[in-house]
Amino acid sequence: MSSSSTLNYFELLGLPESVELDRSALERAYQSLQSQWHPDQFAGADATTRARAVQQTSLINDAYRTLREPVSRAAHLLALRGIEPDRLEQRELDPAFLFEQMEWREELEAKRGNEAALGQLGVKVDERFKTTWRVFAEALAKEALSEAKREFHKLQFLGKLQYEINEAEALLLDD
Amino acid sequence: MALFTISEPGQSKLRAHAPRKRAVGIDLGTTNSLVATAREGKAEVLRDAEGRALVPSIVTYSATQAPRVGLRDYADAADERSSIASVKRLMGRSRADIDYQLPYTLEDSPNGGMPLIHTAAGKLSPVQVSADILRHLAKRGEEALGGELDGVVITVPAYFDEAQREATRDAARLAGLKVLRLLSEPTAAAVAYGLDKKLEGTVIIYDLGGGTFDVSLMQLQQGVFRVIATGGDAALGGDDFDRAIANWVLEQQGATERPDSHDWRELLRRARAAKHALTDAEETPIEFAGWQGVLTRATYYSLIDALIDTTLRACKRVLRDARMKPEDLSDIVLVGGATRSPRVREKVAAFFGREPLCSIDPDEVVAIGAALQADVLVGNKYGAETLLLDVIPLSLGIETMGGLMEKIIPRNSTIPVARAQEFTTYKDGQTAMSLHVLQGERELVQDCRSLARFELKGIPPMVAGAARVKVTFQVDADGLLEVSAEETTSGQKASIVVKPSFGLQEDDIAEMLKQSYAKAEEDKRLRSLREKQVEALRHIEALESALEADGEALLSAEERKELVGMMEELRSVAATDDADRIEILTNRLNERSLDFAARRMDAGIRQALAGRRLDDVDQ
Repeated sequence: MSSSSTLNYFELLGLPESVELDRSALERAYQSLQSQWHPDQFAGADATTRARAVQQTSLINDAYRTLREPVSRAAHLLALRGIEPDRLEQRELDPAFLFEQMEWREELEAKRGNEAALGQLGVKVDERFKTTWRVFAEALAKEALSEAKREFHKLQFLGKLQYEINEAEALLLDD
Repeated sequence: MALFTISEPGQSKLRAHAPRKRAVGIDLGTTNSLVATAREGKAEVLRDAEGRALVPSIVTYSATQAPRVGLRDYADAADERSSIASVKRLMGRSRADIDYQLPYTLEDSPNGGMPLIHTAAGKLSPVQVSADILRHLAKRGEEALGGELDGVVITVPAYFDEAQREATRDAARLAGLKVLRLLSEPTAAAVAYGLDKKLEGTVIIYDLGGGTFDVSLMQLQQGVFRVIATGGDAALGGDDFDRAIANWVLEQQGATERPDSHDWRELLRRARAAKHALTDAEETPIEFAGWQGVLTRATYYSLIDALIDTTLRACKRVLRDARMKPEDLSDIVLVGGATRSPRVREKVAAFFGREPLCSIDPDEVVAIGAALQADVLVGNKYGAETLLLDVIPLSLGIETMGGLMEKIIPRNSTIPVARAQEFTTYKDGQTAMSLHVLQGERELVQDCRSLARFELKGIPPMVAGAARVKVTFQVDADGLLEVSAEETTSGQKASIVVKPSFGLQEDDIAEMLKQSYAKAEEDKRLRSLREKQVEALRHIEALESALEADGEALLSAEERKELVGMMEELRSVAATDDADRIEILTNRLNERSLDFAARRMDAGIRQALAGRRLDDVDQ
């Protein structure tokens, strides 16, 4: 998925390649492609045609999901520029952010089990995500790729943190 | 037929003038099943001669007659004992999963899959019992539509996992049905509301059936039915309300031991009657084995509130998965017979903060939606284009080092979906890698459902971590999984359609192999018999002609009589299929005629010599 020969999901969905995405355009493109290729359209067709429809729609679903979520969209934009977003060299790390990561983690551990505190933490993480997103978008706009990659890693961490907060909140539901 | 195969997407309307095809939607429920059919976008459930749409999901077996489906009253105790109900709970489940009392006997299947049920017609797998129900429903469809069905849509709980879906599809195959689609029950209900009641927006489908609970958060918009998130419990339903009442009665009665299966059935029946009575009444008398009491609504609610709360927790989780709040929803739709319960309605309304919809009969709505979709899928287009985007209810993944489950496809992924993940070897020179396919949300392998194990062999020996094993998961529109693995540096491949753990196929194959083995034995036996018969006749013929030629000259009358007697005995035995006796008599005749043969040979030599001149011999 992360090689220079990456299939361009923007092209697949017929959308302009950009950091910010018109959500309703994405939805329209997705639904129109799905209506064309969904296996239900080929219920009476032969096995080969049906298998192709399954593959096509899997790809369309993957493209849609990748572009809809900001972190995976950012990774895709980097991959399209020949950057493997998952491989990070030691020198590419931002020491200040490493420290910040530790602080975030400690805060999450401290607030586990407290639904209100987790909610507040979630809001804080969202804000940090938004500011980081703006820096990433600017870096990409001026093709400052190593900077973009560094910011991407922050986004990736913050995204994961959001997920973990969500899971911690979900755990509280089970009690 | 070839004319109707689609070559271009979006041209399906060209088929409008094709002959109408026969399709039905089947709601294969835990307690009741239904079949419906659609025409021009209008669906109706199919009823029996007495006007009843619900078919109790009960199959009554007998040693002598064909299975009977949907009996409401048992003619006698024998019928009752051999009736199998709620078989849906056993689909795709192992014996270990079944931790509740059943009124029939189960036996572990030899290959660790679904347990076998003891019936009057022998030991049957849950798939076979489900197939009998499907056959019955399909027959009702065929009678209504006047001919063989071209296709069916069968609904499954949204929360059914891979093993349960596979089992359902196997049952359909066993019943000889062409499955157009396995459709999630809440999605089917949404289709019915969307097409019939023009419902649009973001809705929750709350589906509490006899034995399963599903909740789906869906977006309905201009013929697009999209599941955003789904959750539920594949073993929670209205049947549990009956069980709760039954257990309460036993407690009140001070019973010290469990009733036997006959009494338990009877108790469940009375519990169900009490439950139905409380839909309208404030209290109802209940009586069992000499004990008499009154069940009030308050008591009944205290028995079932915990069960309803479990469903509401699942609703909460689904909202969270979709990152929504109750106020983001435009409607709540009630589906399933158990939503007739006023308590369920009350608690659902309180939780979501609005009155739920139930304008389509909650028992019939799933079958109606399935019929509408079956009509579209079979090719009877009437203009309304629908697009159903479903999700997988539980994450799919693979076992990694340390007994952990690594998710490859997360729950609520829209299907079809394909996802690949790379793994590597952990030992130098490792040439094989075993893959354990799992489904579930928990981190430890032991807490997830094991779907299949397979092995990728022939990896070229490399240092640890150098091999690149790409494992690809492909889930189709029915939610069924296929896994393949490839070592990318060498191109070594392995793939399986996931089903060994619970599918019928293994049983099937074993049975077929056994049959073919038995067949081969039979074939071998027949062949050997034929050979012996031919051998015997060959001997008889040879002896007959020898007797005719030299019998008088070379044998005494007594010797002749003995040989002829033995020959006639063999002739009569050779007409039977007693291979052993044929062989024995052939050998004995052969032995007894050896002397005669030797004499003939001597005579022959003498005769030959007699015919020659001496000088010839000397040469």
